[in-house]
Amino acid sequence: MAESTADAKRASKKAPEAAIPRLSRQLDAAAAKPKLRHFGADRFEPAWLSLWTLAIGREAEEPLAWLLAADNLPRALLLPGELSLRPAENDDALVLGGGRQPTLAQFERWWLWERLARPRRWPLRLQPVTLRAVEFPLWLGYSQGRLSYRQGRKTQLIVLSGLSGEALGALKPAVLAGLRDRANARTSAIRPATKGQNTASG
Amino acid sequence: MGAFTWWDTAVLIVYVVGIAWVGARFGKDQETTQDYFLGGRKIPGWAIGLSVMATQASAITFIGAPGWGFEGGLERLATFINVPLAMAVLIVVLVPIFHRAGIYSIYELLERRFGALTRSLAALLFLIARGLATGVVLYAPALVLSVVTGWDVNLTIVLMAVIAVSYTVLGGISAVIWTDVIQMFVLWLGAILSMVLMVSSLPGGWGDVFAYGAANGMFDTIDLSLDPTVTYSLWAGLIGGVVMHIAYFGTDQSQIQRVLTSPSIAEGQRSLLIGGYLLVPQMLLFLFIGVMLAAYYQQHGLTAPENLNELFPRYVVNAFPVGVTGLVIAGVFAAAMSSLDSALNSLSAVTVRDFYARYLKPEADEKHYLKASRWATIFWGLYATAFAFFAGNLGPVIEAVNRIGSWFYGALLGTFLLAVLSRRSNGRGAVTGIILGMTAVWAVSQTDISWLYQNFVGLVVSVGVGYVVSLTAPAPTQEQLSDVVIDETAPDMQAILKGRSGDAAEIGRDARLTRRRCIGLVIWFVLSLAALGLLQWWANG
Repeated sequence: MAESTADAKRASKKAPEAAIPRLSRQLDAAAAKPKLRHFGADRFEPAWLSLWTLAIGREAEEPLAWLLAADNLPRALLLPGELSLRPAENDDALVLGGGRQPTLAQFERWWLWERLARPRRWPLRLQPVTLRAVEFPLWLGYSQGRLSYRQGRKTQLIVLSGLSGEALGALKPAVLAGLRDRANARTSAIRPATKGQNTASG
Repeated sequence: MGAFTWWDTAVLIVYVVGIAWVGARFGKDQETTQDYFLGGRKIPGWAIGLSVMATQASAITFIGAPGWGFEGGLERLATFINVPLAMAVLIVVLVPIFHRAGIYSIYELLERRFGALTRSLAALLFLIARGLATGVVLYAPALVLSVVTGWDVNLTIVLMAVIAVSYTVLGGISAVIWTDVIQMFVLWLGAILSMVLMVSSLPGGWGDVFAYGAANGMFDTIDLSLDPTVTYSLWAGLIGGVVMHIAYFGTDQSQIQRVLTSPSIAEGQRSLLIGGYLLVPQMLLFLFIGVMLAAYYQQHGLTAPENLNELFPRYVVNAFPVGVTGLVIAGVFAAAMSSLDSALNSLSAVTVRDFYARYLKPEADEKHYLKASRWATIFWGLYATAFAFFAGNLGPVIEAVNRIGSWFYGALLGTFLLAVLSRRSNGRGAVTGIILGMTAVWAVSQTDISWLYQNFVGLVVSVGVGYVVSLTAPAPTQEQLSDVVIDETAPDMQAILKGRSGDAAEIGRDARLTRRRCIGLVIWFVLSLAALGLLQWWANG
C-alpha cells in the first residue's frame, strides 16, 4: 500500500482516554434485524467502533462531508452531511478500538484518491482543524455459516452500519482487530473489561 | 424527413447544452446532499439502472448492434447471453473481496498479494486494452457526426477527440444520474420510434419482419455446434463469453470503479445486478432493429452502406421526422461523451495512481497529481485518437471493442482468480501466468478458433501456468494473504466470535441476500435462453 511509508513515520498517538463522542445511532435493533437476517446472520449485538474523523469542504465551518478512518484501515469511509454527535453513555453495546490516529498526510492521500476517481470533488479540501475521534455505531451479526468438511462450522461476522444499515465489509478487519485486542486484554487481565465498560484503544 | 436539417442542428445544440446545464445545476445542488457523495442513494432503483446502462457503452450499442444484427441476425446474442451468469460470479467471488480490501484501484490488490511487478503488469494491460477500446468509443460518435455533416470521418474523429479530452480535463460534462436517465430515454425512444417507422413502411408490417427473419435464419440464436471455429455458438458464448464478461465487469478499472466507490458491498452489487438483468434485453432490442433494417432494405430494394456502423445513423437521419432526428443523434453524442469521460478518467487515474505516484513521484502534493492526471488524460486522448483512425476497419464497433478486450481479459482474470482462490500462488507464478496466458491468446488468435474462446484460453493458461510456476517459489506470507483470507477463520478468532455469538441476541434465519440475488440472475439466464430457443423453434417451423 502506498501509505505504508507514512504509516511507519506516524507518531504513535492513541485515542484520548476521555469519553469519545458518539455518532447518533440511526438504525435501531428492530430495523437492523431484518437487514442482518438478509446477510445470513442468526445472532446480533450492537457495537461502537472508535475512528478518527476529518471534515471536507470549502471552509472548516461548513463541512460537506467527513472522512472516517484509522491508521490500520486501507481506505477512509466517506460520510456526507453533518456529524450528529452526542456524549457517550453507558449502554450495553460492545465498545471497540478501531486503530490509531492516522496522520494528516494519510488523510490527504485518501482524499486525493477519492477525488481522482471523481474529479468533480476537486474543489473540496480537508479541514485539518476538525480532526477528532468519534465512536461509530455498528450492528454486529453472527452467522454459523456452512458446515465445512475440513474446518467444521465457522462463525462469520457481518458488520452493519448503525447509520445507514449498509454492510460495511471494509470495517471488518478493524472490528476483528478490536475484538482480538479486547480478548487479549481480558486474558492478560491488565485491563479487565466487561461488556459495556471497555474503552477504545485508539 | 430525409436529411439533417437546421432544425435538427438546433435541437442537437439545445440538447447538448441542456444536458450540460442540467449536469452543472444538479451537481451544484448536490454538493450539500448525500447524492453528490454517494451517487444517488435516494434516487429510485430504476433510475440508477438506466444510469448504469448509459455508462456501459450505450452509444456503441446504438451504432454497432443494429449493423451486427443486420449482418448476422440474433445469433450474435450468444456473446451476451452469459452476462447474468458473469454478474452472479462477480457478485459472489470478486466484489466482496475488492470491497473489503478497501482499494481505490483493483491492481493494488495484486501488489499486496503478488508484489509490485504483477500490479504494474496488470495495470499496463488494462491501460493498453482500455486505451484501444476508447479509440473505438471515440470513433462511434465521430462516425455519426460524419454521417450527419458529410465531413470526412478522420476530421470528425479529431474534432470529437478535442471535445472529449477538453471536457474531461475540465471536470467532466456531468456525473448526474438524471442526465444519464434522460440519455437512455432518448436512445430507447429512438430505437422504438425506428421500429414503429420501419414496420409502418412495410406492407405486411410485423409479418414481413418475422417472415424475412425466419426465412434467412436470423432468429437462430442457439447454435449447439461443438466446432470451436463457429464464432457465435452457444458454447463459445458460455465458455469464452462468460470469462470475457467477468473480466470486463470485474477486472477493468473503468467498470469496477463504480463498485469500488460505492459505500457498501450491497450497493456495489446492485449496479452489477441491474446490468445483469438489463444488458441482454437491450442487446436483443438493438440486434432486432438490425433484423428489421435487413427486412426494410430488402423490401425497399436499398443497398446497405459498406460500413455497417453507418447503417442505423443513416436510417435515423433519413427516416425520422425533423427535430426528432436531432434529438436522437444528440442522445448518441451525449451517451458517447459520458462513456468517453468515464474511460479517460479511469485511464488517467490508473496512470497516476499505479505508475506515476507509485514509481516516479511518490510524495508530490495533490496539485501536482491533479496536473499529472490532466496530462495523462491528454495522453490517453491522443492514444485513443490514433487508434480511432483504424477502428473503421474492425467491423461492427460492438464486436471490435469485445475483440480488443478478448486479447487481454483471460490472462487478467486468471491473475485475479489466482490471487483470490489460491493460497499457494505467488508473484513469480502470477507474472509467468500473465505472460504465457497472453502468448497463448496470441497463438489462438492466429487460428480460425472463435475469438470468444481466446478469453477462456487466456484464463486457463494463466491460472494453470501461474499455479505450477508458483510451486517453484516460496508460498506467500500470511500478510500477503490478508486481503483474500478472512481473518475470522483463524482458530483464535473463531473462539472469540463463537463466544460473542453465544451471548448475542437471536434473530432467526433467512435466505442470504447475495445467494438470492445470484439465484435470480441464473433464473433470468435460463428464461432468456428458453425465450430465444422458442423463437428459434418457431422460426424454423
